[in-house]
Amino acid sequence: MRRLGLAPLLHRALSDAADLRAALFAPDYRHSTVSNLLRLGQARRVRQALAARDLPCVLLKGGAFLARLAPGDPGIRPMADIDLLVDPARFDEAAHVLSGLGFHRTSERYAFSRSSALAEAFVRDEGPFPVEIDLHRALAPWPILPGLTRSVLSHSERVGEWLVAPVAETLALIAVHRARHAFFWSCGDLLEVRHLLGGLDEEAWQRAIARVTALGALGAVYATLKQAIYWLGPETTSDRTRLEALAAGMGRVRRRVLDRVAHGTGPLAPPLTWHRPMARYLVVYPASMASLARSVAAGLVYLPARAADEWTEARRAGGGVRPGFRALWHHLAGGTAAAQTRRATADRTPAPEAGTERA
Amino acid sequence: MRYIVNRDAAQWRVVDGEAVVVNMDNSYYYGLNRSGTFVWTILTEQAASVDELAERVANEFGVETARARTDVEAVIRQLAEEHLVLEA
Repeated sequence: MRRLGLAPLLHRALSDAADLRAALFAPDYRHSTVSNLLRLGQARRVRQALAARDLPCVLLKGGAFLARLAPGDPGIRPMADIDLLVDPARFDEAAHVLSGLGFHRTSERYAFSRSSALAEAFVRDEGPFPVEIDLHRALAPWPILPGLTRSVLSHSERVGEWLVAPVAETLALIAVHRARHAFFWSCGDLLEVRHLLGGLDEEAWQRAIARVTALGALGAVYATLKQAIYWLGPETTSDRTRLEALAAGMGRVRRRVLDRVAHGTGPLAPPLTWHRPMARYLVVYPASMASLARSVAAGLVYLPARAADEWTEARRAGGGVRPGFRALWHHLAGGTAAAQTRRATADRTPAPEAGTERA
Repeated sequence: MRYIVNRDAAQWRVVDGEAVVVNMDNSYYYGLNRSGTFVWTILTEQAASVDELAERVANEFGVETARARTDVEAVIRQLAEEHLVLEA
């Protein structure tokens, strides 16, 4: 139950039923309450600062779940971060507001990691509880539901103090999110869907189904590509550390070339509509994938070098061409199990952080 | 002197009968015991002096007013040091 992030909810349910077993999960509920109070409190400050600039933001995912379904009980659903969507045209302005509130980007050094990402992570790490806010400029990578971001911004609903996505858009958002995560459905998502269904009539439900039906095939593509990336990439535990490892392994010249590709001018610069899916899931170089031309350029720069590294290392170790092939094959095949382990680890709901109790 | 909760700095919930108070300025949190929770709950609703709080604590928990006053003073002092309560 803890691994699935359901322990706090179970504590609430058992407490309501006056079941003594609730005590087993009381620490989970308490930690979840504390961390979510802090996250939502900081998010509230961000929202107020954005509103002062006439810049609305939409609360997404776990925060929206709590706002809509459990506004007085933030402990029942653990969260790793707060997700906020802003008008993509004013994204930089919103990022500046976060900076003014003590947040900083978690990957400041790598420009190439930012320009095509759907969201950028900002963290405020004063005190014992770091608070992370994922600031979204978009909700789904092209070509998935290209109108979803605009639709959420245009039709957001006010729930208490927050703007949240309408029910139909929330379902689409969950479907997109899970398709991108290779259909790994968490129990938390299923519970949220179950609750949201009560807000849809039959016609709206049919529309929602029709809207996300195509995600099946696209999700399969994403899952395949994502696995491929894990096979190709270095052994690290998170996208962020993977990115840093990739950058560190490239050397200054290659990094600069790819930064140039990512933010290039000239023939590589014209943005094409064919972007973003590769950015995330051929992760070789996220921002460099902002267009087909850039993707090709990034691939030409990175992949041969990566393959050459493998080849050279294998030949050095084995002393011939055949060991080189064998080592490369083993690297790809051996990456499978490790990648699946990472996949499971990455999707696991993080345990609440330890807090500092004074009184 | 009367005190009231600093709503700009404090976020709180009562969890299993005990208040959990988060200080938004420094990210620390504070778990209050039953009497502390009783005091905190009063201060979320209205401003109150130490004497008023001590009297209500004494009535609620059946202790002498003098002892209740000592406890209330300690709680208020700690909360004020953390800027979780303000002078009204």
